Amino acid sequence: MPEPALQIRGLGKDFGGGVVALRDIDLDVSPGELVCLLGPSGCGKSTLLNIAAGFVQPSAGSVRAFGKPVSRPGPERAMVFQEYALFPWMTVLDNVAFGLTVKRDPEARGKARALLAKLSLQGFGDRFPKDLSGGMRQRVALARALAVDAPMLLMDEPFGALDALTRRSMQAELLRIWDEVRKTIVFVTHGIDESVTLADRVVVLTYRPGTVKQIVELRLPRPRDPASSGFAEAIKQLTALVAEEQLRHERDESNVALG
Amino acid sequence: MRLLRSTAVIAVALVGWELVCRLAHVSPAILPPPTQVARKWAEYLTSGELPRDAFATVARVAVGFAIGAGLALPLGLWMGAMSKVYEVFNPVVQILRPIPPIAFIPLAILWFGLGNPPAFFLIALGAFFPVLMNSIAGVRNVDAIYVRAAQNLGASPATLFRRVLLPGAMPSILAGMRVGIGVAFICVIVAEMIAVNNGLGYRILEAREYFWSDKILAGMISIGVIGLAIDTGMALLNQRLLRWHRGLENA
Repeated sequence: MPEPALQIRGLGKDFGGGVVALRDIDLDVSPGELVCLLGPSGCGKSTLLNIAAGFVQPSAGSVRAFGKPVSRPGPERAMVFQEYALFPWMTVLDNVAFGLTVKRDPEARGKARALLAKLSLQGFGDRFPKDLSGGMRQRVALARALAVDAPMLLMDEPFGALDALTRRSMQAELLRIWDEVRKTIVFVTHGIDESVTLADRVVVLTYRPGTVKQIVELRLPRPRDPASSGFAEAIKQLTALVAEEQLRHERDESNVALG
Repeated sequence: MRLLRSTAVIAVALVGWELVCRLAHVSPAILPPPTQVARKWAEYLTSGELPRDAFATVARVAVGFAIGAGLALPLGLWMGAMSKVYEVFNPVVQILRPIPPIAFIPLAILWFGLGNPPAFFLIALGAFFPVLMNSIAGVRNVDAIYVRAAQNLGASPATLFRRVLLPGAMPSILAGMRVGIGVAFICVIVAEMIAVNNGLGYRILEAREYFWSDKILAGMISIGVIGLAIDTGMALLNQRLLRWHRGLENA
């Protein structure tokens, strides 16, 4: 058994004021594995990712990445944000090269250009992010994260803001790249389809406090055919699991609304 | 058509002004007609007096603004980036900021006597607070997600400041400079009326001694034109430096 890329033990996060975001999370992610964290909003999946990234400190438990305890952000765990978080004052090329210039890589720009080509963004290097569509921005964000060649990618609902068609092509793109570079990917989503399209394993989280409800292993061959019976079966299983938590989420919201 | 629309009010006002002066026989010492003001302005210009005054005024603004903004920018960036520094300096900033620079005139003269030093002091003071406040706000308002993204990619604190906080704050800093240079221009006119014996501010006050209302008005119009030129220059500079920012709000 190789050392897990990400090892989470007894993880808890209490934001105070009675909001317990996460409780007793145990999770191992193997090197090269693509794991989706799935759950309704408020299940703490983004918090979990932010703790793994080192942006947020846990209240209990520990996170280790490649054997080392995580306490702050590091370029071995590259993050892709839902809001892209591209630096608007830098050109596309400078955005992608950022992590490399930080490391004083003399070939930063050349490598960044190669990545742009790989993500079908050639010719856009001199543009500013504001001139790009949402899908293209997320490609740039992905290129920027790939540029530092981190062994692990943390992706926080990266395709959540995209339209359905763009999302599908970005999923295919991600799988193509993953196939090529075999990075460990932890992918947060609230899309059941998306998790079945992408994941080796889907970690279903409970609504507040977030705990691991169930881990569903998907052994479907890739590329996955949404029309196949295996795909439909997985969707059905996950839908049932998520629906229970969604119901708790909605009940909680209407309780708040009713005061 | 656009040119006509934007100049129509000015043209009508000038004609009305001329007519009032001529038909009502207004004393030229009270309100000279625009034709007389224009003649005086041309004379003021060709004698070389206006260029010398304008240069003196603009040079004072440049020096005073450079001092004021030069002190405010680093302090503002420091206060914006470090909340401990902010806590230390903010109370004194809040107490001094509402005092109009004009209220510093007595002290400025006591401290620096007459001549350029008190003028520089007042102009610098006028530019200082707009630049300071906008620099602080600019750095503080840089979206935390950019900071996270930079840290995630391995940026050191120095890199974070230079490549994320500073450019992220730039729109606000430049807006502060634009306001600051406007206030500096107000301060230079006041300072020239009090502390020195050249420049546009001095000249219009001098003209009053002789009831040269045409010269007062010619000087005022020159002040307006130079102020407009400075502001337009700043706006163009902003636009050039912030190519990435234009239209970002509705992106």
